[in-house]
Amino acid sequence: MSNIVTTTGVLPIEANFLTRTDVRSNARLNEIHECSEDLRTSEGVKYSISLRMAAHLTKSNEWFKSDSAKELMAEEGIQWSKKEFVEKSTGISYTWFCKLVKAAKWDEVIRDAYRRYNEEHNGTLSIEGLNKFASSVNLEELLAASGDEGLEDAIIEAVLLEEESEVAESNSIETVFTISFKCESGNVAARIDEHGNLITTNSDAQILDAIAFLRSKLS
Amino acid sequence: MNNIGINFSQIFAANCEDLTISDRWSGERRIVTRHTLLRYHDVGRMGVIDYTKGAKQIDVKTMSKADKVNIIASQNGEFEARFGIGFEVEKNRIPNKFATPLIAGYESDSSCGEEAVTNIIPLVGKGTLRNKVNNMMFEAREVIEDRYSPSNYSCGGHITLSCKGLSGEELFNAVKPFMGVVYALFRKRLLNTYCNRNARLESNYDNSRYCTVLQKSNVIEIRLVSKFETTKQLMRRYELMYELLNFAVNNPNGKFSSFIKRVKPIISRMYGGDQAKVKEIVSLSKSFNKYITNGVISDNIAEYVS
Repeated sequence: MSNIVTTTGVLPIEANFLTRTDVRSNARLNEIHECSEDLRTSEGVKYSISLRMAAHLTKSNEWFKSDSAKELMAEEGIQWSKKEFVEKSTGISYTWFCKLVKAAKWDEVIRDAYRRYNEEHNGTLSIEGLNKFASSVNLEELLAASGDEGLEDAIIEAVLLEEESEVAESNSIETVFTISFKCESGNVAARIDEHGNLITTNSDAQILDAIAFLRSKLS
Repeated sequence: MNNIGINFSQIFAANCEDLTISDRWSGERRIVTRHTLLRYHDVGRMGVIDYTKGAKQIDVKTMSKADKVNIIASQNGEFEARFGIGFEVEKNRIPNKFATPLIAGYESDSSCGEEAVTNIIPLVGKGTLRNKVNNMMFEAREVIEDRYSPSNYSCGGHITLSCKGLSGEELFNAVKPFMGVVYALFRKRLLNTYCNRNARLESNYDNSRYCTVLQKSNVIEIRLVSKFETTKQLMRRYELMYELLNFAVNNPNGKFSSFIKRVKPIISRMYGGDQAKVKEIVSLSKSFNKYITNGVISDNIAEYVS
């Protein structure tokens, strides 16, 4: 799926606003568009360009949330949600923007560890991969345990351990049946393992509702 | 699903074809356009477009819950604005009279020269639909702004307001307790004989054309408003009128001080953030409100009311 959205819905008043020098500079629009262009044309270095773009987007987002930006937009007669701002000013899909901003928040040592981890495991660098990798790291805990110098190693070890336990967990007992159902009263999820145990946090009545819904869809 | 929402340009284009009016003397039909100068009052006879209907889900989605009370859902899935607004943009000269969605037409005006009459615009809270309204104003900037279309002090900026379900008289009585702010902003116009009659806003006043606020069957016309010099001025007045109707209709027992609080950011923007000026307007607003409700003339407004 493309991360670039069409910006045809931009009104002339909005387009005019986006040409203002102060807006372009505070919202880092030139830099973001440059990154977008680089992403379109570059081969193999997309990850580092994305990270560069993520840093600009973070600054852009900070500006958008500032009182001065709100006042300027009110003055110009424009009211945007964050999603509208992102899509109209940068042409980037909001989902991709959220992933990039999340990626920009990770500490540099985590990013370095992720890069090394990928090199050692012949993996492909990606923003989604970085976010997944970093989510399983408790930096404060690791810093307290290993100190600054061994931190990168400790991060990789922690991620490997996490992966191993995930694999072990998923290998330990086979699941033979699962059901999940989204309804107004909340989510229903249930599974039956190879020993015939029903694992769920829902009531019997909720599971029966889910089954009834499934049955209504069968011909 | 409609992902674009209401398209004012499209509605406008559909309403620009085959326009005719009957000649006042001969009765013959003659072809008219939305971009040529017509005789006084002929724009109304040609027909103004009502944009208050036809908004789509995407237009109102970003509106706050509080502002959505002023939007009426139709059975066809569309939305209607409860409040409507129209402007008369009086100018000495409008060199470039062009067809643009905001403007219903142009007509001559004996007091100042020429005027652009707007279509009926939805008066709504912040969000996508208001962005589109502001965009119409932006696109009409060559008509509105003094640097393109000059005006002088003989020109005014009348504003017409409507509210679905309320008669002109009901709307007049609803806004009366909050009109002090409008008086404070345009106080110098209270000395103008074209708009200073019935300044105390008595609802049973005989219908003189030159009232401060004119009561008509389904609308009110605020004649006190001064000329429009910039597009942003038009936007600010639109915002002020929205707050006025929103407060008057939805909080009829609301305190004047609460209303002042609501409109303070708009006043501040009108004066480029000059807080001393805002303070002065607030003080004048309170005095004018006393004048409208009790007839008390405080020292700070004495020079404006007779």
